[in-house]
Amino acid sequence: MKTGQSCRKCREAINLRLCGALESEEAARVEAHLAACAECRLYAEEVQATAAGLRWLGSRDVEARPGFRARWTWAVEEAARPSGFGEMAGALVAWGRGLLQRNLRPGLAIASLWVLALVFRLSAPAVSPSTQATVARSPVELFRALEVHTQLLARQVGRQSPAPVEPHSVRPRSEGPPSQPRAHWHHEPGVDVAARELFPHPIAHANTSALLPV
Amino acid sequence: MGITAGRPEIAGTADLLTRARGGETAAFCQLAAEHERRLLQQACGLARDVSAAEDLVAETLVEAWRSIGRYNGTCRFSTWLFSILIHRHQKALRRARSRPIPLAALAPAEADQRQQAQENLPATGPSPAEAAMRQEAADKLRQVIEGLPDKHQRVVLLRFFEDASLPEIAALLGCSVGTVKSRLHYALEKLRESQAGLNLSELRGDT
Repeated sequence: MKTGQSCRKCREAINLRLCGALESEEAARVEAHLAACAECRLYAEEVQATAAGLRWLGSRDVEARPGFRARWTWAVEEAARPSGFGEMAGALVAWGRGLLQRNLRPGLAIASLWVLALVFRLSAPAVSPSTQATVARSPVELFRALEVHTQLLARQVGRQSPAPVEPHSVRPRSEGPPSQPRAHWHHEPGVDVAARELFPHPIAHANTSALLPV
Repeated sequence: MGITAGRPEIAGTADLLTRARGGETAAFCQLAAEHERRLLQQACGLARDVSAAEDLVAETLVEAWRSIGRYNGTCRFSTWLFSILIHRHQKALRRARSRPIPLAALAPAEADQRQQAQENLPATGPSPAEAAMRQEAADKLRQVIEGLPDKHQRVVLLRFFEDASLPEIAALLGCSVGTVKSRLHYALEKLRESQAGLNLSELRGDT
């Protein structure tokens, strides 16, 4: 009778008996087993004490604080009000709080940076073709860009474009006098004014001045 | 109804329910007031103090109001309310677990709670030492319950806090009576093992 298998079955039945879900035949078998098995008797006492403790925990006499009913009634009435802007705002705040509670702070920080970067980018002035020309990476590129813009200028001011200058004639000032004759187009006053309009940024002038033909 | 045959509903529940489903908050509040005291007792078994228990009951009733249309009568109204209370409690526990609490913040709160429990005792009640012992036993038991998986917690609480029948629990949780039985068996085994050092026999004279 006192095998592991029968004890296990008996304990399952004891637990069911506690829940009032044991058939009368099964109950008689359990009683018979308990009469012969001290370990299962101890188990039955312990589990009965557990059940009694659970019932006790859920039915202790508690005094509600004053105004308890008024508080939950108010909460129910608030919940019953038709949804409006306030509720939407509350839901948004709750959603935001939920995001913060779910440890998404780093993700939110990165997302905010992206949004800021996007706003900054959109609000920045559009880059004009002439400004693009000033960020040439080599003297040759710069010279070609200047050539293009000079032709544009000439068209705008109604003058003829100056003779094109070979790219190899562009040298830094420190390398001595250029091998080609000086390009005189930039001395013309009309072109100077138009060039300032094209290169309004002082940094652009500073960067490119060393590379301009002298 | 076979499932709820064990304990009848409070008189007038059906009428109040119909009116509450129709959007009448007064009817719902009247119905909820009938269950308020029992819900608070159950909440006190789960929450750390009366204040937290009151909040839990208020949340439960708001949730019940919002989803009153989903109550289908397969269990008693009180059982349905208690199942919502368990759900809210488990949700709050999960939230609390995911948020780290400094240990320093815990000690004074617990001390305050003990002191408050002793101060609130009526003159004819148990002695302060006895009350403190009971409070400690309740805390330990609560911790053991909280250590159970959610689905086992639900079954054991519905059975022993609410005295719900097994078919009622099965209908509420959407599982078979066999599943409810096996969960109950597992939960009782765990609880018995965990509270080996807890003398619960002395607690029974408290209520």
